[in-house]
Amino acid sequence: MYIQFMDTDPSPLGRDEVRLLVLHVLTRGASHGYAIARAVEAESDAALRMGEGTLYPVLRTLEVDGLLASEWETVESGPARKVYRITPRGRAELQRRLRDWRSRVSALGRVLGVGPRTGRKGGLSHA
Amino acid sequence: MPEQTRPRPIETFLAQVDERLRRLPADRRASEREELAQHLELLATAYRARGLSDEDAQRAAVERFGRAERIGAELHQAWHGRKAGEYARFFVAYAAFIVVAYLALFASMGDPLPRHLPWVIAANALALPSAFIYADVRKRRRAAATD
Repeated sequence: MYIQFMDTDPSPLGRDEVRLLVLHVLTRGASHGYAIARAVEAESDAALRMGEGTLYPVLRTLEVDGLLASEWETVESGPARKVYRITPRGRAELQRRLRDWRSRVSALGRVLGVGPRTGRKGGLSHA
Repeated sequence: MPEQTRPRPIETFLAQVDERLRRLPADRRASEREELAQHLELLATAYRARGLSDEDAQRAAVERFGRAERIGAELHQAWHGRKAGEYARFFVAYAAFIVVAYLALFASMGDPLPRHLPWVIAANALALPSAFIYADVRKRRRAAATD
């Protein structure tokens, strides 16, 4: 499994950012906690670090809120793994959070005079 | 302390998290522990592959998680918060039922509403849910204690 180490670790992501990224990663299919954390680090070229200490409380909150469902899946080799899936409510919540996020980035861009005008779609283009 | 008897960093971390989860039902507590243990072992394996000793790899894995007490408390809060929400919904639904039932009863009898009716409704709306919630909390604590 991919894990990237840097000499100086970037600051861990905040709780709201972790919620958004977890929901996004799970739109691509079911996954377990370790794989979710590594996916975010790999796709950001280790620029983002999903602190494990934040990840699990966030996963649990999303699960309790009905935005994720989980089950222990047995695999042929190795122990059973707890796997998470995004629910329809989770997808709706992701869309809402993405709208909020875009709105904030756009507002910040206007204030700073660096608004994105390239029209380029990034990894969150499924919204 | 001899090296063989010294607790492994991952085991120490998990025991500290577990301590914070002692009021959760046994199966939920075991699930939390197993999930964290697997993640820590995968991290430690990655650190060992990078050349760290077993002990250092475990310490590095544990450091990525941060303080065990905080994680345990937050995991507990995630479950506890849901229970509090369920209790609140139960309280509101039962109180609404009591109000409607009393008003329907007096309406069917054609009697004027007595002045002390709000107190009767409040007592009825509070007593049974309080007793139920108290019994449920005691039951869950006993279940956790027998783990």
